[in-house]
Amino acid sequence: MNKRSLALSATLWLLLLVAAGGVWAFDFSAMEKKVTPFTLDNGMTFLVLEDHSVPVVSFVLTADVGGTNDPKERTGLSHMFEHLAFKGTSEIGTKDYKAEQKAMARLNAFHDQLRAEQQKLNVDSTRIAALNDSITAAQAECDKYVEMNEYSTWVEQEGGVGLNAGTGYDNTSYYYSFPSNKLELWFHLESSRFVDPVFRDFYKERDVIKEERRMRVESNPIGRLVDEFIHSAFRAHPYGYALIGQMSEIDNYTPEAAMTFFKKYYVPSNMVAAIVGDVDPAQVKALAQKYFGRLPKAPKPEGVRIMEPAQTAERIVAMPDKSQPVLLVGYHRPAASDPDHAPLQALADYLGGGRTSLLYKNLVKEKKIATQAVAFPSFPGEKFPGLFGIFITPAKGITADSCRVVALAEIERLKNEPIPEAELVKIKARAKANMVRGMSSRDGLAGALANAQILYGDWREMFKELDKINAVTPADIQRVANTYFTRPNRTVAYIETVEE
Amino acid sequence: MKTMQRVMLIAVALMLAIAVVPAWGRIKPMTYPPLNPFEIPQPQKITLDNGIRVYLLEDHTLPIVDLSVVTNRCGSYLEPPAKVGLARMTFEVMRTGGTTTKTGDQIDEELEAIGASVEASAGAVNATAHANALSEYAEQVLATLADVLRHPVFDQDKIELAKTGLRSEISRRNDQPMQMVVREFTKLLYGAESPYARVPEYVTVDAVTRQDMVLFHAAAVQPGNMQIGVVGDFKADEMLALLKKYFGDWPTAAQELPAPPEINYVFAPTVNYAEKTDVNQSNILLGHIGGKMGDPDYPATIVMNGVLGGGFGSRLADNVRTRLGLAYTAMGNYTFQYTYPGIFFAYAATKSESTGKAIREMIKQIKSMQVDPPTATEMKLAKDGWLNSFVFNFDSRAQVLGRMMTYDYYGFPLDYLQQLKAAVEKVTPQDVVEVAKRKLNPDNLQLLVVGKADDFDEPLANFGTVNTIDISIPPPAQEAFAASPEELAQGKAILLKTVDACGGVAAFKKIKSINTVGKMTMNTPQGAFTLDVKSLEVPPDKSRQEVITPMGTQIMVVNGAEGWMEMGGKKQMLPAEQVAESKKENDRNTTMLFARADNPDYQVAYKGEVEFQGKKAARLDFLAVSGAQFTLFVDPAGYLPMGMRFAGQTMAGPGTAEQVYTEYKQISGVKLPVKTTINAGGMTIEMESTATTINGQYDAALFAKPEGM
Repeated sequence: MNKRSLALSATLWLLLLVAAGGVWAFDFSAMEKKVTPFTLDNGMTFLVLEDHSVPVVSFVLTADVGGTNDPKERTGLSHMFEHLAFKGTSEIGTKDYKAEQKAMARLNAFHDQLRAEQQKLNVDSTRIAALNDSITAAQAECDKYVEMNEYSTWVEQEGGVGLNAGTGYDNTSYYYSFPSNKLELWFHLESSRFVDPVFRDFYKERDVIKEERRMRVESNPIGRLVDEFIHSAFRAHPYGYALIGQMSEIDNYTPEAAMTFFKKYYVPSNMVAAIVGDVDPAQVKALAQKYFGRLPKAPKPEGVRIMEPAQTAERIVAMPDKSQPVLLVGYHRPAASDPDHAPLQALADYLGGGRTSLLYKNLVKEKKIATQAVAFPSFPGEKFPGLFGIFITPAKGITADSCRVVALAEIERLKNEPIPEAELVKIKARAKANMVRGMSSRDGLAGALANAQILYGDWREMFKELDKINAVTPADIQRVANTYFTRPNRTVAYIETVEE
Repeated sequence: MKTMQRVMLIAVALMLAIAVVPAWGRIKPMTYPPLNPFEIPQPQKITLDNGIRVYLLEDHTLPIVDLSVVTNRCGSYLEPPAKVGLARMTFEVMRTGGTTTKTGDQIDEELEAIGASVEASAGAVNATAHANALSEYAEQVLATLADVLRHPVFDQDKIELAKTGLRSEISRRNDQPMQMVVREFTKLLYGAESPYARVPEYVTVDAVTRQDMVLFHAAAVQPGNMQIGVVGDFKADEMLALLKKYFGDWPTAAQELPAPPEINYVFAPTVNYAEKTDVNQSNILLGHIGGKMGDPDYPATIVMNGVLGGGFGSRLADNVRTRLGLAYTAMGNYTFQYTYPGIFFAYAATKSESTGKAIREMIKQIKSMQVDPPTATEMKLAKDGWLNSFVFNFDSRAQVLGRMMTYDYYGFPLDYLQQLKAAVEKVTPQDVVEVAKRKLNPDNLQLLVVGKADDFDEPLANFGTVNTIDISIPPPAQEAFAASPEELAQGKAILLKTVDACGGVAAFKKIKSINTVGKMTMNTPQGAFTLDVKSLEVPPDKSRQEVITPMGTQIMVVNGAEGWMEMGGKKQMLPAEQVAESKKENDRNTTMLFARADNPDYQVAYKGEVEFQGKKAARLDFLAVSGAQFTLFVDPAGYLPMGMRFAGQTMAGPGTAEQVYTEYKQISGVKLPVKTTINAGGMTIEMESTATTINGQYDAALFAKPEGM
């Protein structure tokens, strides 16, 4: 009533304000010009961005390999490899590598025998028990030679901060920051783990990953629901696989399989390093050649060929659970490289990107049937055709289904009514402000550069994203909404709260 | 206006130029060049006349400004125990509920149109309002920030929104095991009633009124306790002028606020368990109270933390995670806080079947700290690691500014961090053992496990007498029925008018049975669908419903004290709660209610004119002898009932249900609603009667308990 007209006039006023103040003061091209890219002879790409304000430097190494490349019957192996990349080399992490190698070979042989025995039609439990005893003894022998966590200890004692790595469906990143005088140490440590990785503590790490799976999926209601959601939304494409792997497949990891995976995917042509901070690009180039030049040249591995077939029926996943309701809605959409990507990003912001978005206004502010309503342009990845996702948290006493009915009605409305020009102006202003904010941290910038290079084959795409959003028209948004927001293209998953 | 001393234009080269030659045997030693020098940024401090302390730090790297307003002595510690949630909601609604000149929605639109943010939130002992925007909008967001802090109007609708949010948060608080373990452990350490541990409940949220918020804001949001920090792309003198313009004329309140309370911790070993059956992993926390900033043991404790549980290579991570493969996360830390003590904790999440094993290993590692001095490798990790990463204390200007604001408020020297560095450099392995003896108390650890005890490898009782924590969420208190004699008299008068409008008490008294045939339409995930229903009501206490479903007819009968269900030939007695609920339903049944209107066995109070379904309505509150409470909304013009609201079971658990009568028909001398919409738990059910017979024939055997039950 009264409030609506106020809000309308406020929007008009802002439109004028934005138009008047529309000279964007910040020049992104200046930032773009500060990037020094180069590629080694072996095909590995480096992106260097100088920033001498503080003597620190952030590193992100991204490999174009992730959960979508997991081999059959070993889902989650890309994630396992990411853990193994912290286990050291033949020099780092060992007290006596020669003796350790022998002990590890013995341990692996017993594990192989155990796997073979477990596969037999008539399992011999006496033999299994004997093998388990041998494994315990062989593991103890291995432990004698292990210098535990030496790799990460080295990084941290030299002042490294934020040491970690992340595996996604699309790619895998390894990152941390050093005081800038430790630049060469990064080159040494980071190249060594991809030149000469040693998979020590392999079987214990499988157990760590199982705990990670229990934490993220099995003991977490939203984790359980997302797991069911993606498995239902994808029939063929590995976006539907469990990123962390199924329990039985984690048990199926072997050092041999991990090594095959490593040799195929961790080749220089498949890796990008972004370095942002107090560095001299010429020195970086020399160090890159010295350390990463050790990696042998190899062709870029073949990518994922499987394509998700068009969905022809709405899929509904109802999860009875003791926890409170949650609603997920997904619509299949093309990959980030598709021209519809920018309109879909704008649409996600319009639908569920803040306090004035359609879903928040309707479900949270007005009807008060939800406490949260968010839209994601790409889920669970963006390299391949994935989903446009909506996540809604119903308010107390409200079912996920009630939220679904209201949210879907709102989506239907949006398909028929073009987005007001003023709303699009807001979306573009937010995209711009968020872009600038994203540049405020060295590690954030390094991550964005590496990601753009891996995803599009060109880091400059990072700076073009804003231009693409600025080119979006109301008609584009309405068109993509009508193209993708159809019932047969939809998957809905929700928690239905049940008593004990 | 006093400008802070320009201290410490130290080249960090002096502090960090240690060209280390590492002593690793197998690895080629690497020498590092000295770290490039840089100036530690020096914020400028100005105190405004009203006591607001302003801190400014220019940073022209990006066209952004970032403002934060910290209000000290303002937080949940000030709220009465019966109104926990007041501070949080006050700050939320300050931002969302609008100001004297703009609605909250208008502020949302304005900010989002420029990609800016203004947020406000209250913690335990201080509250923060924060704004971030492209620098060209600096004045606009600063003005909004000041407006939100100074002139909030606490719009009732946004209060309801905040309450909905907080109630929903309460309803979800036992969904995530890690959240549960942290909450309950905090209660164990500070005391369940402590303002540093207590959490909002439905009752405390319900108790908060708009007036509470107005008073809280007036008392606790005082410029004299405020610090404003601004970092980013601006000119200091211009920013100061803006701050004076928007904050300078805010008069200081005279009211002195109490200091946050002290903690009286008594060391004792305890074993605590909170059950969560839908997990296969235990969340374990072990520990006791921690320290306060200013403690001379702080430097040695930094090194101790690094050795015990700081990261990879620490004793907890090495043993619980890497060596035993028992957890993905294993960590520990002894923390210090400024206002009240921090905590000491060790944490791990392990599969249910290794719970005991993990606890034992964690205790072992805690104990080792008092016995085994750190090895050279451990010292390198914990001490060199901290010293070598020192430069990261200065890598973001926002971080430098925030730290300076904290030091300044709590009376720490502004070069405290440099002093700390000098102290950490001196820490020896023996110092670490000594500090572990003073700070850690392995014999008096409190243990908390959230998990599924049935699957544990050993009973928790092995660690001591187990205290099982009741984590069930207390339901909201039903609003007590209260009425003045005047309200009761008016209530009865309006009720009689209502009954008259529907046909009069005499007509209702003649009703011996009502037979209804109709349809029920429900919205489900599969779409809306309609079922045929039949019902038979026999006052005062018998009812029978038949629902014809594709799977067969479902029959539910309540015959006074007992009830049963029949479906597909299977019969089942109704649980006592359901029979009780059905009795309450009889109390809410208007036909039965109106028949007793001349000499009611219930109380009815008139609560004034309200809005119901967008129309004016007279509100009548009822309290029946069964204890049932409900509200009837009556059209003040024609006195026909418009609808009813009551607390009861909904499809989504306990909640509020609402019936809206949308169409009436005259049947055998009385007016009965023939179309009703039921809203409950976010679900809508439409009921429509197609044929209603009063005092028709019915078979008494329908209410006879079936054989064999």
